[in-house]
Amino acid sequence: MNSWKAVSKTVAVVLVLVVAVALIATYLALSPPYVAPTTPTTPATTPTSPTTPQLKRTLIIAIPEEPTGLDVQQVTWSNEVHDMIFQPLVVLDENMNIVPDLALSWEVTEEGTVLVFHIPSDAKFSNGDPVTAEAIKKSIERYKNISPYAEDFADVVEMTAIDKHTLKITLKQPAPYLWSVLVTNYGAPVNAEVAERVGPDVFNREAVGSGPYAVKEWVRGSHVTLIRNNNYRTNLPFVANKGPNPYVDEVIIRFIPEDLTRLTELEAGRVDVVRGVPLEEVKRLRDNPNIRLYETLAPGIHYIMVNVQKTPLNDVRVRKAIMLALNRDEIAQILDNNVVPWYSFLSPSQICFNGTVETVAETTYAHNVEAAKELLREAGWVDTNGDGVVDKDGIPLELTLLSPVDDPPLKKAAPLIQAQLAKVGIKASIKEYTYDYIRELTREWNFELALRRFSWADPDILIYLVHSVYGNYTYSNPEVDVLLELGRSVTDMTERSEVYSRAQELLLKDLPLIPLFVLKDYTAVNKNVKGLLILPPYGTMFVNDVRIEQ
Amino acid sequence: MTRLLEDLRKKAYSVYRSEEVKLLIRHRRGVVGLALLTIIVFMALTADLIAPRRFDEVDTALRLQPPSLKHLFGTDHLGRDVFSRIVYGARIALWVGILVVLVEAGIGVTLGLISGYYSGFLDKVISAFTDMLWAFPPIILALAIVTILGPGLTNVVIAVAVVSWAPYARIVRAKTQSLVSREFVMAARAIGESDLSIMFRYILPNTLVSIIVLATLTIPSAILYTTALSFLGFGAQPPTPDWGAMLNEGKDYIFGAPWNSIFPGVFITLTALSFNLLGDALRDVLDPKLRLR
Amino acid sequence: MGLLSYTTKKLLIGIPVVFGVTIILFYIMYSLPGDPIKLIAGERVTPERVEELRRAWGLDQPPYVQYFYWLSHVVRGDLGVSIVTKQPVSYLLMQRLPYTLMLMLISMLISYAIGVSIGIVSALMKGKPIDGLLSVTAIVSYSIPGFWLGLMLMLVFGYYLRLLPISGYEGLHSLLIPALSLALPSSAAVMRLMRAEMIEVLNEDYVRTAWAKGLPRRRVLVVHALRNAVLPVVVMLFLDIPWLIGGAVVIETLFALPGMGRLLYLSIIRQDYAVVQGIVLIITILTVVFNTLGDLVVAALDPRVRVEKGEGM
Repeated sequence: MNSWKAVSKTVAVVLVLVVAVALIATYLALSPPYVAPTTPTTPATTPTSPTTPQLKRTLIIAIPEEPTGLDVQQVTWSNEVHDMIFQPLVVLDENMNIVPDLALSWEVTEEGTVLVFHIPSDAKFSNGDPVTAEAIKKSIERYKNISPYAEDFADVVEMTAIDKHTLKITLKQPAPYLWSVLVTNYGAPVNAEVAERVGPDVFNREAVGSGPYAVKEWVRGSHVTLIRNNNYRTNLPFVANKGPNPYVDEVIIRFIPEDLTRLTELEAGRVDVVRGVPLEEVKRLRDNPNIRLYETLAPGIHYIMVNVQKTPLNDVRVRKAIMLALNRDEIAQILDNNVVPWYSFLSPSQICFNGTVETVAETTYAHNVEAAKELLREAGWVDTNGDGVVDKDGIPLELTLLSPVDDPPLKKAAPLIQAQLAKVGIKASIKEYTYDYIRELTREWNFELALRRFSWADPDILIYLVHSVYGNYTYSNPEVDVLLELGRSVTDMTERSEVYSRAQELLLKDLPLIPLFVLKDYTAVNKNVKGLLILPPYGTMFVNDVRIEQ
Repeated sequence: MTRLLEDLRKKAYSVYRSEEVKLLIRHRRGVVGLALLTIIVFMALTADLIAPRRFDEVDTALRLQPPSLKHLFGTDHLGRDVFSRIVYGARIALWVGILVVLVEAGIGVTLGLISGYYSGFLDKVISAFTDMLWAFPPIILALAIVTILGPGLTNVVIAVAVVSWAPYARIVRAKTQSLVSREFVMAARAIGESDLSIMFRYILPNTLVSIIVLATLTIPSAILYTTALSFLGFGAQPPTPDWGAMLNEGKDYIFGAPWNSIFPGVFITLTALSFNLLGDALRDVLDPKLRLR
Repeated sequence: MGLLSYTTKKLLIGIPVVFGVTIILFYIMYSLPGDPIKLIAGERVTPERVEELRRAWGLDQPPYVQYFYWLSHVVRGDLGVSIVTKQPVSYLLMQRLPYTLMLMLISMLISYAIGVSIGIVSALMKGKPIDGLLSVTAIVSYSIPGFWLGLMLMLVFGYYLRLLPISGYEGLHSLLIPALSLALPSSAAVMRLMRAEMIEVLNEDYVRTAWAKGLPRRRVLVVHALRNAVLPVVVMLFLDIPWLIGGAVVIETLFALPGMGRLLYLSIIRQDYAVVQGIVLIITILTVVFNTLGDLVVAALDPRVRVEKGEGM
C-alpha cells in the first residue's frame, strides 16, 4: 500500500511537471507570428505640405501564399514579393502594349533575331551596384543555368555588351514569345554577382534586384518586410513618380493563407491591400464603403480539355454538341458572376487578343439544347430506350469529367456542367483529383473530359496545349501547328494577332478545348490608399504613386 | 457419430436466451436508439417517395434559398433541394456504415480466430501487426490509402475498413483463447473435426454476440471516418448526396447560407447516435464485459 | 522484472513498430499514382528537365534504395528536404509542431476537465435522473463529428457573436474553438470511463469501510476513491494520443492552422514524400513513447501486470 501511494504520488508530480513544461515551452515557441509595426518615431524627411493629411508610411499587403524563395530565378512561381524586389526591363500597359520599365528604350532588328536594350546610365541595384549591360547579361546567363524555366531563353545564342549601357541579344530565330517572359518579374535582372558570392541558398533568402523595394527581413511563416530602395529609377510611362516613393518607407507583405482571416485583417484596418479575394466574399466587400475593389481579367481561360482520340469524342459533332449544351451564363451565375462566360481561346488580358473572334464564337455557339441534340442525332446518338441518355449501337453516351478539387470555380462548376450535359442526353460522371494530377492524366492521354485552366499573357501558351509536338496532347492539326509556329516568329504585333486569330478560328471548328469562362481577379484595397495602380494581365501592383492617408 | 456432432454443435449455439430479448425491450435508451434508427432506415428506403426532388436536380434560379415550406432545409449553391439530398444521403450513410463494418469484421474476425486458435509464431506476427495498427492514427493511414486508390466512396470504404479492424482481432482472439480449452471444443477435436470446422462451427458462434455488439458500436465511427474523408474532399464524387461531401461543399457558404452545413451534420450525428444507443443497450444486456478500447 | 528493464523492453518492442510503420508508409507513398516531379513542374517545363530533376531528387532509384538512403540520413538526424518548398523537413516540423502540441494540450485539458468532473458527479449520482441526463449527453457528444462541431462553433462564436477568430492563427485564443471541437467528443469517452471506475472503486471494501468508519465525506472521496479511480483514466490519456493526432489533421485543415496536421494533409496531396515520412515518423515515435508511458504507469502500480502484459497483445 505504501509503494502504491509513493508511486502514484510520483506519477502525479511527474505528470504535472510534464504538462507544465510542455505548456510553457509551446507557449514560448508560439511567439506571435506577426507584430504590428510601430509607426516610425522619426518621420522621414520628405516634403509634405501643411495641407497634406497625416500619412501612414508603411504599406501592408496580405497575400495567400508565402513564396518558396525570394530569388525569382529559383522559384517555380513568383508573386507580389518578387514584384517589389525586381524590376523588369519592360512591362505591359493596360492595352497590352510593351512599355519601358528599367530599360530606356529598345530596338528589334534583323527580322526579329536581334534585340538591343538601352539601359539608363544611372541604373543601380538596391545595394548600389550599377545595373550595366554586363550585369543583365550575367543575370540572363544565370537564368539559363538554374531556373526551372531555363527553356525560356533557349533561343538566345549570344549576348554582347556593346557598351556599358547597351545590351545586344542575338536569337537563333525570331522569338516574340520571349517578351512575355521579359515583361514579368521572371525576366527581371537579379544581381548575379552577389548571387555568385553568397551562393544560391542565401540569395534565395536575401535576393537583390533593382525593384522599388528591397528585402529587409523575411520572417518565415509570417511576412517579408521590404524597405524603400533609394536607388530605384523607372521609365514607366504611366506613373508620375519615376524615383523612390517618398510617401511609403516600408512595404510589409504578410502571408495569410486563410481567405477569411485575410479579409478580417483588412476590415480591421491592420492590412491595406488584400490579394486573392475569395469569390464568395466579393459581394460583401462591394457593399463596404471603406474598401475599394480592383477588378482585372485573368490572362487565360478555364476550359474543358477533350480527348479527341477517344470515341465518341473523336467525332467533332459530339464535341460541338457539348459546346452548345453548356449554359455559360448559368455557370457564371453560380460563381456569383465572378467570371465572364467565354467562347474563344484568348482572354482580353492576353497579348494578341481579338474581340471579333470572341463575338463570332459567342454567336456560333450560344447555348442551344435543340441544336446540340440535333448534332448528336446526326452523329447517330439517339435515346432509343427512354432512359434519358442517348445511345448508339446499344452503348449509352457516358463520359468521365475530371474536376480539380483545388480549383474552387471549376470544382463548383462541375456538377452544373454535369446537369447541363444531362439535358442533351450525355451522362457525365465526375471524378475529383488535384489539379496537378489531372494535368498529368491529360498528358498521358488517360482521360475523356478534363476541367483545366491556363494563365499566361502570351498567346504562345496555346502551343503547349494544342500543338502536336510541343503540346503532345491528343489533338493534332497540321494547319494549327503551322500557325502556332508562325506565331513564334512573326514580330509585327498586328500580323501576329492575325495569326492567332486564324489559329483560334481553326480551333473553334475542331474544339479540342471547350472554353468555359475567364476569371476575374480581385484585389481589395483600403479606401485610404491613394494612387495604387493594378494592371492586367497578372494584376501587377505599381506602388510608385501610393500615399496612405490616415 | 453424426448425432454426437449435431449435439455438440447445438451446444455451441446454446448461448442465446430469450430473457435477454425482454431485457432489451426494457432498456429505454436502446429503444430510443432503435426508434431513431428506424426513422433513418425508413428515410433511406422511401427516399424516392418522400424526397420532393431528385438529389441531383439543379436549378440555378433557386440557389441558396433559406429553409421554407417549399424547401424544408433550403437549397444549396446549385439550387438543389437540401432536404431531398439529406433523404437520399441516408441511403449512402447506412450503406457505407454497414459495408465498412462487414469488411473490417471479416478481416478482424479471421485474424483474431487464427491468432487465438494457433498460439505461437502465427499469433505473435498477427498480434504485432494488430499492435502496429493500434498505435497509428487511423485517419492518417486511411487518407494515404485513399490517395493511392483514388477518390470515391468504394475506396473510402476499403480504406476505413483496412485501418480499423484491430478491435475485432483483439476481442475475437481473447475469446478464442478462452474457448479453445473448453470441453466441447476438446470433444470436437477428439472426434476428428478439422481446425477450420472447429474455428467456424464451434468457436465463431460463441464469439458472435461480442461481434454483433462490437459491430453496432463501430458503425458510428465508420460513418464518422467516411464522412470526415468526404469532408476533406476524398470521398463521394459529386453529385452524390453524401452528408460529408455536402458539408464539404456547404462550408464555402457557411456564413451566407448556414443551412447547407447545419442539416447534414445534424443527420450524421443522429445516425451515429442511434447506433451508439443501440450498441450500448446490446452490450449492457448481452456482453457487459466488452470494452472497445 | 524491474521497472527499468520493463521500460526498456517496452521501448525495444516499439522499435519494430516504428520501422514497420515507416516501411509501410514509404511503400504507400511510392505507389501513389502521379509523379511528384511532374507535379512540381509547370506546363512549360521540358521532359529533359523533368528527368534531370528526378535524378537530382534521387527519385530514379528503386524504392528500397530510397528507403535506406532516407533511413541512413534519419539516423544522422537529417529528415531530408521538402520537394515542394525546398526547405529542410526538420525545419518545417519544428515550425509546425508547437501549434499541434499546443492544440492537443489545450484540447486534452478541456476534455479531461470536463470528462473527469462530470464522470465523478455522474458516479456519485448513480441511478438518479441527473446521472441519466449526463450519460445521454455523453453519448450524444461523441456521436457528433468533430469537424462539424468545429464548423458550428465557428459559425456561432466567430461569425454571429464575433468573439473569436474564424480561422487562421492569431494567438492562443485562435486555438480555443479548434481545441473545443477536438475535446468535446473525446471528453465523453473520458467521462464514461471515469464514471465506471468511480462506481467500481466506491464499491470496494476499503471505501465502504471508510464510509462505515464515519470519515468525512470529502476525505473518503478524495483520498480513497478518487485517487484510485482516476488512474485508469490517466492511462487512457496516453493511449488517446494517436486518435487526437488523427483528429488534429481534420481540425487543423478546417481552421487553417499552421500545425503539423494541416502540413501532413497538404503534403499527402502534393506527394511531398519527405515531409509525409518525417511527420509520420514523429507521430509514430510519439505514440510509442506515450503508449510505453501508459503501460509504465499501470506497471508501476501493479507489479503483476509486468508479467501478464509483457506477453502478447
